Amino acid sequence: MDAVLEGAALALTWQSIGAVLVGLIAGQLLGAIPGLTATMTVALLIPYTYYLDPWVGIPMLIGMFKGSLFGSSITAILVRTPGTPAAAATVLDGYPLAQQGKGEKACKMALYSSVFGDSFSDIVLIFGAAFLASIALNFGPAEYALLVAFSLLTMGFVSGPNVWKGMVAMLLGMLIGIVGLDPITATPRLTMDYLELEEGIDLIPMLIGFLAVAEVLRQMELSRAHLATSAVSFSTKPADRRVSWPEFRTCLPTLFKSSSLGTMVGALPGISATVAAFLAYNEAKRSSKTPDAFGKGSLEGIAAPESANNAVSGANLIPLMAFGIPGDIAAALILSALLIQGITPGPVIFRDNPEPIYAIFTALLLANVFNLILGRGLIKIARRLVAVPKRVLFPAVLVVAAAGAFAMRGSVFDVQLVFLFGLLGWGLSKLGFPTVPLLIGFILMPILESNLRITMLIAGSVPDPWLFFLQRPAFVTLAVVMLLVLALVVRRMVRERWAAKAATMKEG
Amino acid sequence: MPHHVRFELLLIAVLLPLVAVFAFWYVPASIEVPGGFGSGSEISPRFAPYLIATLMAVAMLARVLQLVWLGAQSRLREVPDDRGGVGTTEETTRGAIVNLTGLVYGFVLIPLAGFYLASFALMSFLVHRLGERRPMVVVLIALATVAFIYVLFEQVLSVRLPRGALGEALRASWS
Repeated sequence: MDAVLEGAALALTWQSIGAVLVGLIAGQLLGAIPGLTATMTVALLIPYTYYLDPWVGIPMLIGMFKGSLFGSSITAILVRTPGTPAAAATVLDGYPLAQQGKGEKACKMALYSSVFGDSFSDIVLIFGAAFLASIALNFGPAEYALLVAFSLLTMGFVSGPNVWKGMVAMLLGMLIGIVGLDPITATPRLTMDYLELEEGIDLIPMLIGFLAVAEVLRQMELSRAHLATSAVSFSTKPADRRVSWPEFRTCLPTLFKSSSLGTMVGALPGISATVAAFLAYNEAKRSSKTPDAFGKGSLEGIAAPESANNAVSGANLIPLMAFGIPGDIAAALILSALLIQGITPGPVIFRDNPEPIYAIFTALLLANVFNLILGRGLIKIARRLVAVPKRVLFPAVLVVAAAGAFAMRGSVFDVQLVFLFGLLGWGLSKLGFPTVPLLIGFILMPILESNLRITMLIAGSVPDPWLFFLQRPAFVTLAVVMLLVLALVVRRMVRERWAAKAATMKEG
Repeated sequence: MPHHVRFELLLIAVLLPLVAVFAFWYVPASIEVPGGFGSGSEISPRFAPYLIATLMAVAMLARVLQLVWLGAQSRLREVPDDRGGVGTTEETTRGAIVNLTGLVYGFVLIPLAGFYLASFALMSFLVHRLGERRPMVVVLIALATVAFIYVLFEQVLSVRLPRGALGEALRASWS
């Protein structure tokens, strides 16, 4: 208990609190710029933390990471331009809600969901880091491949009214996802002899192109009278500006489920917040009582991805704190900051020197509270910024998006990709193809391919491949759970079809 | 046959041969298989493209069969029309022009004139095209956007945006 109090005292000095605030403000503002990911904002800040006291630098990094995740959701909701890839799934229901004049409500729902997901995973981190990390360590290539293949399968089923278009879009995304060097043989694939494509296509130009640029291009088609109005109009009705308690309560099961999913995904090394957000959205739509409302401005559709992507940020620290293994790049950056400050995370630190760990936990919780307070201020600023006419805002979005795409790798090729993907997204939407399955296919394909091929290699080299899978408890458990979920999906689809048939016969 | 169903069949008729060309010509011609990694093997670099092409073809053929089945039962009118975002011909033409402008900006203007000049030109053109008729306002909006990007990226984030062939030539002549 003394260690807990001493740790908390380290993070509760006015310098630490000020650092969390500065980090949050910078993170929220930078996170709203397309192309500047949470990881990139943390990376930008790390050099400055070398000169700071550990208990100023580390809380600042934590604040910046959390702030950027929420900041990116604001532009995702109001102008369909996610600041970071993690907010891409928030576009799906946030933007339609903003178009209905309920942008402020959507932003507030995103804020509450972000803080909920963050706090949930932080609490899990504090009380169950070692337990969850031990489960995560049982996940090998076979389990990863199964998890991703299942997500893609359900995505295809629930992607829209025309299943074949959803499937083709998803497969096209998967095809774009394999461009580059083959992960096993290092042979160039689909690179058309472009050296730039050998590294593969980065997620940032893809997302900016398909979501922001394609939408801006579609809007620019409309009449000049339409373009003279504001990009987003805000309803003055109090009910459209706030999230009421009954509305929040309706979303609570989704929040708990998505936060749990985000925490589990975050505990698995190598799977990003973007994947967690799409998985949670997919699952929320699948299990919702009103799946048809998704994509049209459902609050659950915002709650699911926002709570899941924020839950990943805390959960990423689980393998870091328990074993000293960073779960993703952001956790690796935080690890480097800890090492620079002379703190080595891992099982020994809980026994020998636990105060810094409890100080980090305190800073995490503190950042959540401040994120909630500062986030409301950011929503007010964003309201004013998007009040400019569309004919000014949309060209500016194109230019800022191009700069953001360039900043990631310093490559003009990425800027060109943004406009090529914008053209492709525009064309696909004209032909009635959904773009969400395409993005999910793109994000999940590299994880699926490398794990599937490694699994097949291992299974092919043992005498009894079936026994290889059956001897893995994590694989068997996961397979049983997925079969059950798949049965539920199919049952629901059959029921809906029968209900539609019965309704048609009644009308006839 | 409803128009949207005919459109869907036409789309499949275009896409299916493209998938076949991809699988039977482009993949074998462009992806080399190193010795020891047979093309039928799961470790072949052609494994994933073939799998994706097969699944695409299956999805499209399944849809054709479904439509044939519905046609045989005279239920093609029940097929929902999902082309909500098609827009009018005039809108599509305007969209194509803006798309072309974006491509010229990314592929020609930025590499030649550099990010700032290209962005100034793009902003001025688009803001004017989208309805702002006061030249002074157009120039001010374009300048303000470019200045904002300069301060944020060059001064705050230390990201040097591309200067283009023109910018590099000017710099070389000065030094």
